[in-house]
Amino acid sequence: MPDPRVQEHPIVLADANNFYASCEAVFHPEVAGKPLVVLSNNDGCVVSRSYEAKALGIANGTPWFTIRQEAAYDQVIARSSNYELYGSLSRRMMSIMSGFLPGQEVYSIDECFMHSPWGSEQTRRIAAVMRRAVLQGVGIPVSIGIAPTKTLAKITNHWAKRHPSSRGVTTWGDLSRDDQGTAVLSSIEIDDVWGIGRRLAKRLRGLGIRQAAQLRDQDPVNMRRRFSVQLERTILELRGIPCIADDSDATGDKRDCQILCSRMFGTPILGEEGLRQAASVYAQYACRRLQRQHSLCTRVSVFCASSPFSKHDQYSSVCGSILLQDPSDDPVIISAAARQALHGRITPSVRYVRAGVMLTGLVDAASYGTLPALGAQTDPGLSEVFEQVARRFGPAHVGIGFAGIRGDGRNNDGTGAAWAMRREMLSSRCTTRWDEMPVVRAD
Amino acid sequence: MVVSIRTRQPGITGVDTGMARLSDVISSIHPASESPVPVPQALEAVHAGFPSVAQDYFDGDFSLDEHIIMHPDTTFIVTVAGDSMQNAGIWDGDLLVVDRALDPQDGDVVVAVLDDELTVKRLVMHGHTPVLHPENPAYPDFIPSPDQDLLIWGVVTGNYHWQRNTAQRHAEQPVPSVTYPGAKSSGGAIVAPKHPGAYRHGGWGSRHA
Repeated sequence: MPDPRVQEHPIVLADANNFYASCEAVFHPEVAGKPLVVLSNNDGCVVSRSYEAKALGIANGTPWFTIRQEAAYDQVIARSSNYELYGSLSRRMMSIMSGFLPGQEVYSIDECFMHSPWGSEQTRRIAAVMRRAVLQGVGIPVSIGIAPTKTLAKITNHWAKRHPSSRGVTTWGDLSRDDQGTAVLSSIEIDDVWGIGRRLAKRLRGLGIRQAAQLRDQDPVNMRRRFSVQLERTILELRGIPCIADDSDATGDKRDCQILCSRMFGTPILGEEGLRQAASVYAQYACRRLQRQHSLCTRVSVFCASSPFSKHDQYSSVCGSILLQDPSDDPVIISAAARQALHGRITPSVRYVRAGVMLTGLVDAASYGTLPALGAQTDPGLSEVFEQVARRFGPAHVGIGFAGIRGDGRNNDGTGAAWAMRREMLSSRCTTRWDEMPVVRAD
Repeated sequence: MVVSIRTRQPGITGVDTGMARLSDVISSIHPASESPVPVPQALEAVHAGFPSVAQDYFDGDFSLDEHIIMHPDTTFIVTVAGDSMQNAGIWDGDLLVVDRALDPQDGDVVVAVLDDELTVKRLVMHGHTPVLHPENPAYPDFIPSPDQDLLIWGVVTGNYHWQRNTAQRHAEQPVPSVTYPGAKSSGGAIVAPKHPGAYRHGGWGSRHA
């Protein structure tokens, strides 16, 4: 008998399980089935755990140095974040899925939404095949949630991960069969609802709204007046009415407002010279992203900060900004501006641990002519040459300033500066570096 | 590397005037008081000479990648270490094109997981039992026991054999396989946790970099 709640055109959310940890196992069968953690930039905190590591009680966000000893005792394998590998496997996974259902929006490195033109049960069948295709094709397990709205699809997946569900595909219909989903929505904390940030959650809790079911039952018009139209939309979505529009920015990496490249240093930097080097290198990363989305920028800002946890120094942060005379995507101009931006603002005795370069005032490159007398200062072809060299020889063989100086060893070849990010336990970049290709044994 | 940069000075045409002085470039950076105004792009590029007679015919040379790799999303390139597949025409140092999307069939050369390692063998059915057969009489077949699962990583669709080996094989340093003090490099049962709940630190909250 057909389910009266069969949804037309449901939203599908596909979300990889323990993505970084799962990627580490694809080319390394020796770590499959074992406790493994992946660490954030600078090998700082745990950002991903295999199931076996979760079973040991390791929480996400735990600083690595606080559990290093116990991890050794329990034979937990640790890996630095291997972004090259994760980006490569993500692209393949998203591409495979886009062949099954239309309207894919890649939301993050490990999740995407799709829009199914079929009913709920047909979508479930397609999703099951899609899941097997991703598992076989790239070795990554994904969980799939099918629901009338994006907010409910997120909740479906969130619930399914906490309750191992039927073969990795769950529909909102399964969870809301008897009671319109009230039981499940009552078990979801308000903070875990998509679109509700920490501050908003705090305000809602102040009004006695602690879980999703209570939010769903609020008057949407009233909530729009008291909070925002976004909250009204979230309430309607919780009721099964789709109204969060496709974020066209999410279907690519294009940014309209700003491009930010911000990193922590491997070791603290004292003094202006080191900060100028770092600003120049980060400016070049940001500039590459700028060129890829065919934009120009008009303002270059740089900020740097000391450690908020330091016992010796007071926390201090500095920023400076340069307005370019003309919109530009030329790395020479942008990195020169980044080097200038903090001039005269650095305190020589402060140990800075993080810096970032932000490009703002973005405009579309196509709307500017290249006549030198008016319009933009565009890159005359330097970046293209850099990219060709990088494709042939690897990164950091040529660049402006320290971006052109490689470090020693495979973990440091991003840049040779002493302050470069530590990644001591980096696994092989199996699909992006010719000299780190997997080796199969014939012996 | 010497790079030519077009300068803004009038009277300098063309690109081969050598490096601009960095001070010229930096001097163009100073606070501006007005926001920039868009300028319409010039209309069409101007052709010099005659259009190409080949334009309806020539679209670019064919690509080796596109012809050899049927499923780019699920195809990986790996390299071979050892000589156990010589009778299949696969030599030490060859590149293998491995497609995970193909379902392995009797007679396929496959990459399989054996002893926690990726190995290349030919898959041969002995009745209902799949057997991993090296193509070199010096090496033994691997016959899984009835309760063992044979894990096929992917199907080899082809290999590239270097004639002039100018390529560097393998990285200079071995990559870490299992990282903890006193580790063995492979295999072993999963050890039960010694201190369940030992990782519950209050900690600093998440400090995602």
